[in-house]
Amino acid sequence: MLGRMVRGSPAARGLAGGAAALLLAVLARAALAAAPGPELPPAPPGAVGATAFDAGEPRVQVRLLADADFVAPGEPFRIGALFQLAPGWHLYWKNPGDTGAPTELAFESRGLALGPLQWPAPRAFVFDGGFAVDYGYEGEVLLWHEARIEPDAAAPQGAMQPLRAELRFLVCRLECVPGELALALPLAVGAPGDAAAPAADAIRARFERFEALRPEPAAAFGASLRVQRTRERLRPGDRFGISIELEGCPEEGRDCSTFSAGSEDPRELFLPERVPQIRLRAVALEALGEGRSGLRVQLEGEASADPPAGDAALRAVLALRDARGRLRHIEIEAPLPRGPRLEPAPAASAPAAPGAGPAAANSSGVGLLAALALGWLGGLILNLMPCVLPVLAIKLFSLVEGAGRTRAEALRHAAAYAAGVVASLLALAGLVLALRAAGTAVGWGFQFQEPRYVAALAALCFLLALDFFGVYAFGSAPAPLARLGQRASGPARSLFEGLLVVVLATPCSAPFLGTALGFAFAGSAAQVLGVFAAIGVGLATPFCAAALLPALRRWVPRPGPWLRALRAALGLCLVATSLWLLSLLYGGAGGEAVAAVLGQLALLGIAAAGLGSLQRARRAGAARAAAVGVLALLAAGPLLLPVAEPPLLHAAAPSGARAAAEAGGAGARRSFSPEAVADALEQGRPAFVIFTADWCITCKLNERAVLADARVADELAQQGYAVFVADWTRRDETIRAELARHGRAGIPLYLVYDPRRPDEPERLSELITVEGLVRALRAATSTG
Amino acid sequence: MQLPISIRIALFSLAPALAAAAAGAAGPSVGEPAPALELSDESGAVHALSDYAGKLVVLEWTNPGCPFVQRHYRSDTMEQLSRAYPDSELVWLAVNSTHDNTPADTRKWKAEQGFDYPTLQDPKGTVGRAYAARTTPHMFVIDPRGTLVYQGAIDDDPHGRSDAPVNYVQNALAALRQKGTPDPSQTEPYGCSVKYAR
Repeated sequence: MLGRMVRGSPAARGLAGGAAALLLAVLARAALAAAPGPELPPAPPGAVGATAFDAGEPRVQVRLLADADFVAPGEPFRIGALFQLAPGWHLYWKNPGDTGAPTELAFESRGLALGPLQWPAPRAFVFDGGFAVDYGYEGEVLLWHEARIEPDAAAPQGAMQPLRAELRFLVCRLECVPGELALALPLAVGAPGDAAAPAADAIRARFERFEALRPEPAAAFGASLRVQRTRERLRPGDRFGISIELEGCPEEGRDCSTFSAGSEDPRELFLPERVPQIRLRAVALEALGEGRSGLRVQLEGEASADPPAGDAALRAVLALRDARGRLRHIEIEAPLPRGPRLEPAPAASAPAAPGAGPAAANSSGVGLLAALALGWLGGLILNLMPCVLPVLAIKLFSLVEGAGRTRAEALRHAAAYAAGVVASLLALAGLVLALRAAGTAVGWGFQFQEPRYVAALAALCFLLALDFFGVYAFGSAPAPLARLGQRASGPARSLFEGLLVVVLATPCSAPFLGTALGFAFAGSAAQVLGVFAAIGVGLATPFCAAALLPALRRWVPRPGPWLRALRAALGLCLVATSLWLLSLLYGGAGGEAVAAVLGQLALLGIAAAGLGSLQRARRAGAARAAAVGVLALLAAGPLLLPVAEPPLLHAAAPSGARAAAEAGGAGARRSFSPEAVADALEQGRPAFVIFTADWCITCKLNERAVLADARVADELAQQGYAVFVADWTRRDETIRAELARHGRAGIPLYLVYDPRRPDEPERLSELITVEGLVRALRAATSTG
Repeated sequence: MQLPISIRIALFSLAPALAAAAAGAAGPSVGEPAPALELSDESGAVHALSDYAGKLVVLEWTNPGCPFVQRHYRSDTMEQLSRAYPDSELVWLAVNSTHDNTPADTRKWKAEQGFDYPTLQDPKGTVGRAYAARTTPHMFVIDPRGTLVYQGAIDDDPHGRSDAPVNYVQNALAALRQKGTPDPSQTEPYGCSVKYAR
């Protein structure tokens, strides 16, 4: 039909041409997003461009706009670029997010003074199940500056001045297409004092519309903002938390601003700008509660391996719905934890990584020097533990007793003691390294996987306690019991006492030395040995100091009748330690084992009493030797303990494992296997995996204090968590492999699985709190 | 001895608590061992990260369909960098985690571009997710001991308009060869998103 029209008269041809052009324009327009708003007047040539070609079609049309057609120098106006995107395609914000690239707009014109680039509030694009979050725009967006023509611009007045801009950006749907344009918008500049002529209504309407989409300050919204952070300073690799509270009714009696979150997904709600060297993630969103109206967003931040900038600020946009349900945005600015002072690069890297390689391999942020210092401190504190204090006290008293001795002798004893301590710790370190090299993944406390070891230690503590009570005299020297302390029979004895101290210290060491040892186990052999040696030095320090510094010896009170009472008290401490070890044994091997050991301890007591009476009677000879032999045999009894294989969750034992199981709710606890977890996740249930062992003191403490808490149990029950307990009391290759998969060699470890992200569980650190755990449990089920 | 929680926390605060060793959903952190990987390349040969212990390894997440990757291959950025050091010192491995990429596609791209390093095929995206590779290109530099020492963008010029962009990977490799550490060790990568399988 058109063809016949074209062959007709010129008028008909014109009409046909016009109709065709109109049709093409409409079709072209349809290829780009329909502009929601009044139709814009035609653009001057050079001020508009269509680019980002994909399959031959431009995906974005960009047009430079100014809200005045005619300005006087010095008078403010607005100038910007309007992007019109094809449906399904999006453009990026100044922080593009996890992928993409930021949109760049650079005006370059003589005499043009610009304010900062204004970005309307973006939206979040969450894709790949949350693997990546981008920030940007779809449909149409205007980015603009407040601008002025400088009054002393060289251009003659009254001329048309081209305002040039270069744009670089990326538009993506599934695939991405870059765009690059150089545009110029002519602007008429008058003489100073002239009245400005505003641009067409449609253009100004666009400026107004996107001005309104800029984020507002919280106060303008009628809400009060409070930002709290969990840390003040950051070192490389540190994690921290930020809590943003937005309250609608900060003061009584005021008109409350009610608002709700713009989205249930914190990732769509919280849109941050990029901060160098710090990654921020929104993890939870909750109502303020406690009668307050508002909401709280929890963020997690992580500093990168490079020293973060000295002073960094959090700038972000929060998406909210006001009382009328309209989507509005609030801008937030708050200081972030500060990084180290900015220093020239070489100096900054040196203190951050002494012993660059191995220390850098350790992600705990504790340098080698710090670990050594901690080890020394831990060793020092160990002296105060009931396990060690009695022996130390006796050593000190024997030292004082021999106050008349020469300094050289005192030095010899101190050296022998220290050597005994350090040597036995190094031997322990060597054992750990050997086991590690053999492929067994051991963490601190591995020896407690063996109930016999625990039983033997309990017996040893009990034996020593009996010595302190004066039942018999420990040791081979036939010293009369009236003598206080053991008369040192040479440096060899000091050496042995050093060894004894280490053996006794092991049960009490875990809470203090956990960090230093954790660091050590992750590092090289030299580091492990170094940290253990540091612990040894710390352990030996008080005695050595007392031996070497006569002044300190004066602090040790002179022996007297009160000493007997003190020895008895120390003996009681040892008995308490023994009982604690028995409770560990109860958890590890059950009531039968404890009953057996108690029986052995009773026999030990009787034998010790017998030996003691023989010693008092000063009878040498076969009877004494026999008594000693019987005693030794009985002391070794615990090593022959028949220990039954404990079931994974010992129902009869009130151990941590059971507490953990109870926390999971009746019927919800299961023993761990990777397949069972995968099944639960596939069914859409969130999962909570607890790695524990009965010998792991930290785990047990966590279970008693946190996992058994009603709030945790409620949360687990409410959200329908499948709870799995991985009990590593006995060696288990599956559990070891699973720990290794998560980059751990030891326990405790707690994993929270979101069924939508089955491969990315939330790993909780060693020290958990009820609030932290509840938050993590909620986060895994509330994020979208 | 069961200690009340306040004392327990006080005890733990004697020493800084171990930061969570493994990174969360953000993949491996610089300073941690690089996740193990074992994939076959476009010719069927199998490569494991452990094969290259003792050498510097660069992993380049790539996707010929991404304009950022195309721009870099037009200017031979990766290719030149892969040839900067001998094979005995540096191993360059490209990884393609695009869900619908086939070895045949890669062979065609390789023939067109003329580079000589293998491209590991990861259509299921397991290795990409293990490394939390987000964009193409996304670069990872691993030292001879298997520790991740750099991750992030190839350079500081997302739109390719600088005449002399700072090439982070080049600087990292140079620093490592002189027994130093890369600086920066971590940057935000730019590019198209990795098109993972759903």
